[in-house]
Amino acid sequence: MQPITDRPRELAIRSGQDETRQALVSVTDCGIGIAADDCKSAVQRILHTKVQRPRYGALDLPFNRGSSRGDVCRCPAMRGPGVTSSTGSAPASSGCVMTKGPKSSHETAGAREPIVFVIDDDASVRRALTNLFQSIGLAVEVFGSAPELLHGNTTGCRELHGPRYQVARTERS
Amino acid sequence: MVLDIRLPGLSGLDFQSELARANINIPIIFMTGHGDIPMSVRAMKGGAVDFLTNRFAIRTCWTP
Repeated sequence: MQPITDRPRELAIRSGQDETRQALVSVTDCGIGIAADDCKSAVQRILHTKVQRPRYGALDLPFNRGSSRGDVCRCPAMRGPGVTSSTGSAPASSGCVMTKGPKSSHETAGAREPIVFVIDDDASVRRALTNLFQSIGLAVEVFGSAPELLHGNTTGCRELHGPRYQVARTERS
Repeated sequence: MVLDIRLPGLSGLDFQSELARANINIPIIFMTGHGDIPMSVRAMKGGAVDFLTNRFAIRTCWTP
């Protein structure tokens, strides 16, 4: 790695959620980006970093369970149009979706993805548990009451209801 | 499924029974801040995976 001498050294790391509630970590620096061939290995190094949580040993999991499935890494950090050249002064932008698992699952969870239903009338509990489960790569659907789930139209609801449930409800009514 | 006991409309325990009647087998973890023995007995006999009181430690909820 060559030191940067012709321009200021800059590194900005931002985190947030995108429209599908996936955790989005963007890294912006003044470098030249990552070559396409190296992108996957560079990101994997990050994703497999262990999180040290001494107080909660049970949560000492790999950084992201979803990442270990190898289905992550939407990585526009590769070299190409819009990325600075080695002599440019504009910052190169590197964005990596760190997780695939942490998502609401309302629109993207497949039938085989496990979904955790959280049913609690306390919004703070719903939020806390959502964060907890999403942090380990599980899809979560939250509801304030059982009827909300029964009449919901999310992916999980449709799987849960199924034809058998509809039949059972009809027979009893 | 993480299910509270005290819920508006249909209680968690009643919802568990409803799911059982519909032959829907989904692992249920109950949690409540107002649990008692009869509640926990009913929940566990109904097939619940666990019965947690609120303010449980995170390690209690998730043990890989």
